[in-house]
Amino acid sequence: MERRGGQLVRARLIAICAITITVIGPVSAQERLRISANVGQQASTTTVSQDQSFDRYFEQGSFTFERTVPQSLVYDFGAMVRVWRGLYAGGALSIFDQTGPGTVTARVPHPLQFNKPRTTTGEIADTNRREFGQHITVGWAIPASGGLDFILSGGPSFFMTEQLFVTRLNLSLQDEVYPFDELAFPSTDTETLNETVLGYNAGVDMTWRINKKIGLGLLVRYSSGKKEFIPSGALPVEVTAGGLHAGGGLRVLFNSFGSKRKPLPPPKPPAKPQPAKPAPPKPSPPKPAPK
Amino acid sequence: MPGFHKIIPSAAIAALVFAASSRITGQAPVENGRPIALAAAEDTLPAALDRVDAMLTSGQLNISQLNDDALIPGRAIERLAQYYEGLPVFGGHVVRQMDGRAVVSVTGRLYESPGVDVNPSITPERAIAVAVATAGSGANVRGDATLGILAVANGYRLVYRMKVLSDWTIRDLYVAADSGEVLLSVNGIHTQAAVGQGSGIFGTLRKMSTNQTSSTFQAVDKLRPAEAFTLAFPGTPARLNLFLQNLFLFNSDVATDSDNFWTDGPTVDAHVSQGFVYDYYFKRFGRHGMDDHDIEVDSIVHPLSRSEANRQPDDIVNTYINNAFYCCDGLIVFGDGDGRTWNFLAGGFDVVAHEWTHGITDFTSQLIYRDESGALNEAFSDIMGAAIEFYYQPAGSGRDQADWLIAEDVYLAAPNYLRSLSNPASKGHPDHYSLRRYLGTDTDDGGVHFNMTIGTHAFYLAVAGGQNRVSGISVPGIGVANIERMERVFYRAFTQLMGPNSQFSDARRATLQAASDLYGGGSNERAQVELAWNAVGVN
Repeated sequence: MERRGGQLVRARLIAICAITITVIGPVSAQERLRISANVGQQASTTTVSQDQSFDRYFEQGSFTFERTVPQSLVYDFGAMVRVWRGLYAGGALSIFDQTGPGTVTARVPHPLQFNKPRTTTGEIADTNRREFGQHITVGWAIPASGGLDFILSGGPSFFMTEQLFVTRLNLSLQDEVYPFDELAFPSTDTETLNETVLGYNAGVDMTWRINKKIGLGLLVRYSSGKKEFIPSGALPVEVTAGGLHAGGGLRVLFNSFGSKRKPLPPPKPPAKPQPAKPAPPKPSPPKPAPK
Repeated sequence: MPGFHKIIPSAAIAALVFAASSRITGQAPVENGRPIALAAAEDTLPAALDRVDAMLTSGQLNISQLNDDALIPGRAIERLAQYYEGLPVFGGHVVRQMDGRAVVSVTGRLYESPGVDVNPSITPERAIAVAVATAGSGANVRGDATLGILAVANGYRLVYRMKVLSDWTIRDLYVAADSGEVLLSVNGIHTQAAVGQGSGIFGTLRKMSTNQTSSTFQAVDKLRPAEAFTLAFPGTPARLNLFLQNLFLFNSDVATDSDNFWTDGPTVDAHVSQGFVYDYYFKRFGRHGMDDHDIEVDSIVHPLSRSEANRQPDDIVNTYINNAFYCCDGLIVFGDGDGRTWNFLAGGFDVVAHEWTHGITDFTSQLIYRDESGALNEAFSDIMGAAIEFYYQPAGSGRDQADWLIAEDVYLAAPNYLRSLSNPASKGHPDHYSLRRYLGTDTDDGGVHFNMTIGTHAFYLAVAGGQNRVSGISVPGIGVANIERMERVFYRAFTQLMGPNSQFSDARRATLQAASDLYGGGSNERAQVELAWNAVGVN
């Protein structure tokens, strides 16, 4: 199971986009290709929560592994091609890699009494979460005044997602201490799984042109996808990839697709009027006879 | 293999009184000897200490135990045994509560200078022969005969004390060192007397701490600091008498199970419940077992099978079938019950706690198992038996629920309980000191199981509150939710501030002192204790 954060931020951004779209007029963007590189923040947090039960001392125990993936840096690279008027198509790659502590809270049955579970909590230090997102986008450009334009886009996303899970607690009666009412946090076995998660994305990219080739931009993209990961010997865990990304960076704009395409021939200059042929020289008059 | 090192329960008769409380105490009632009073309080403590110091200097008192006080950090409990001309004066005992080098209180009973000739006329061997002859079939003496002073009616006698094992019984005998006469015989089996019949034990699933060997599982608890063995006897008279004659236990006695899923109810209940009692004392009071040094506990089930109930005489049935008892040195025996009045006694959690607590008394106050001190011995066991139920179980009236009744889970005859702390009169037991009976008689060792309810009712009133039926005095009580606070008071008094010859009046003083120690002289706990003893007529 997974919980999402950042809904409020997301709602505000969507509202800002809507207002922006409303106040600006539809003007066609001019370039054919724009390439973007952004550094930003994954503005929402994600919590992976794994629940697992096990048998111990003739009772069922359980543990919950929780890893709250905090807001952290995200890198985003994208390219979009104008295919018709303000319609763009393209793709983007986002990279998110965050390592931090996960928390395991276990309820372990008492060795000598029924219905007297001990609760113990411990941290797993290097709990990594890595997402390599591939976003396919189709967008519509909305130019605004002052060299600004906006592209609203959306499409499917694929997240190559890596996540660490806890597969078991290493419990041993020999390690327990009388009167057994408390339990030191035991060691754990962990497993890192890699899965491809299918999802979607939607966002807005604002570009401010410094000149015809270079611009600065802001990107706000919400992407999300869910999939059940199945650690070895454990119950499936639903993992949500993606999140709200907000960042900014460089825009490189191309009005053509570069050297692979022949430049359009320059327009023919308007035909100049042909100068009139010089009249054949009149026959010179006969020279007079000498007198 | 269970270790088995028997100790001889203290047995002596009170004569002189040293009592510590906030006031100079009156003379506590004693049956024998010449009582003298000594007060040990804020204003009178110096005089008591002078006397104790003088006796220590002259060798009339020797330190027999010194333990850290687990309830109040920094304090220590010092037990001083009385001697006369180098011989122990049985029952003479003082407890000094120390705070660093300062003495907080002095409690106990001592004997005035006995003034007897300390040269025996008969040898120890002769005394043993007398004891063996007196005890009858299968008799033998375990350990040595101890020469000492015994207070008797109108004076003192030089005696040999010894523990005599025989068919069907264990007793402490005091043989006069001049004439060879048996002067006193004290029951060495601290019983929860009961007569009845019952059926099978309950099917409650419980976890057992066992010991795995190469071929089987043993009912041996190695998880707790104190090892505990549960031994399943075959239920035959031959095996029981072999045990009673020499207290030998064999590896083959240890209960076993091939798959670690135990099906013998009494074995399961005895083994598990004794472990829970150990846990209670450890968690509540920081106590390490009966002797506070993690002595091994051995529980015997099926000492005599139920089928023997129809073949054996009543006294045998009432001791080894319809009964549970603490013997000595960490050994507890749980009868099978005849299935009519009693079910398997190991199935009663408060029964197990009761017997276990006898072991603590045996290693602390050593309350002599006769008359008032014996009744206090029994009272403390019932008090802790009830308290342990409240520690583990929700309050209620059904099985596995905490209540103020004793043996309600295994006593089958109407009204389905053995004793009541809240209403002793419902079983014909006294709820007021004026109703005490059998003191000085051989009946129930001087009424130990009868008069005990005077003390247990006082505990009940101090906790739950109520009006005493006889005195009409109402006690608010501290509330059942606060029972732990009163448990500490009584535990402290009975294990640390009382001596072998304590009377009810001593118990009153000791509990008041304990309440002052733990919660202060002006505390509500102390006030409730005082009111409770007033209500049951103990002053």
